Amino acid sequence: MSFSKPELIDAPANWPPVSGETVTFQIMGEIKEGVLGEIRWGLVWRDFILEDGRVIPEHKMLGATTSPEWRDPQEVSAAEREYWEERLVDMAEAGLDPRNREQSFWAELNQYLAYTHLRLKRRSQELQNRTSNER
Amino acid sequence: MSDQGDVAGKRIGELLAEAGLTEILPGDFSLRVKEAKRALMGRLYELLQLRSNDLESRSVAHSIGTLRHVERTLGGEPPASATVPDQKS
Repeated sequence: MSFSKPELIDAPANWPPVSGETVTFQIMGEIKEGVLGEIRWGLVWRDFILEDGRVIPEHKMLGATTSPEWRDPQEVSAAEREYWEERLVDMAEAGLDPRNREQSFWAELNQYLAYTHLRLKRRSQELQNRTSNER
Repeated sequence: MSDQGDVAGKRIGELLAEAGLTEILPGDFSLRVKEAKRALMGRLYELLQLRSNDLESRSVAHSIGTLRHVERTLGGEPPASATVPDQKS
């Protein structure tokens, strides 16, 4: 099952890179490189999946010609969120450890926590707006 | 992307950077999961008080359950490969 965000028609031709290109990124102060396999939208940002299986968020990429793309949490459907949660539970039950950097569990849990933060932030903002409108 | 979309996107990036959620350090996962769970529980409490939005209550409760599962994984010592290197930048 996959969920995708429509590609932008006015995106610059040289970003994002294409499959097979060598990409450079910075994770926790370390500059590294790898060969890009594919790019996949997550709950909040795009992940660059390298051919060796490492998963790198777009905002960690070096050499981007445009600002990273972000996704509004409102765009995430209930089905997509549940699918993501099932994957996290499966990975936890399989004994994977999210502290293994650059691996799927690390990447997906990071996105899920970011998404949860934005989701709750939006709700509290909505509540604040409603309260001030009622005054 | 439209200018409006660009602004909204930048705002999301800023919010996450302020919260330290664009890159979670391996050693911080336990704390981050706990914080998220606490915030979700607060939201669930609010929803139960309001006795409304069953759908949201269920989805928040499901999210809490997901984080509980993850928390159990984080209970042990981090694997050797997850050690944090010296911060160079």
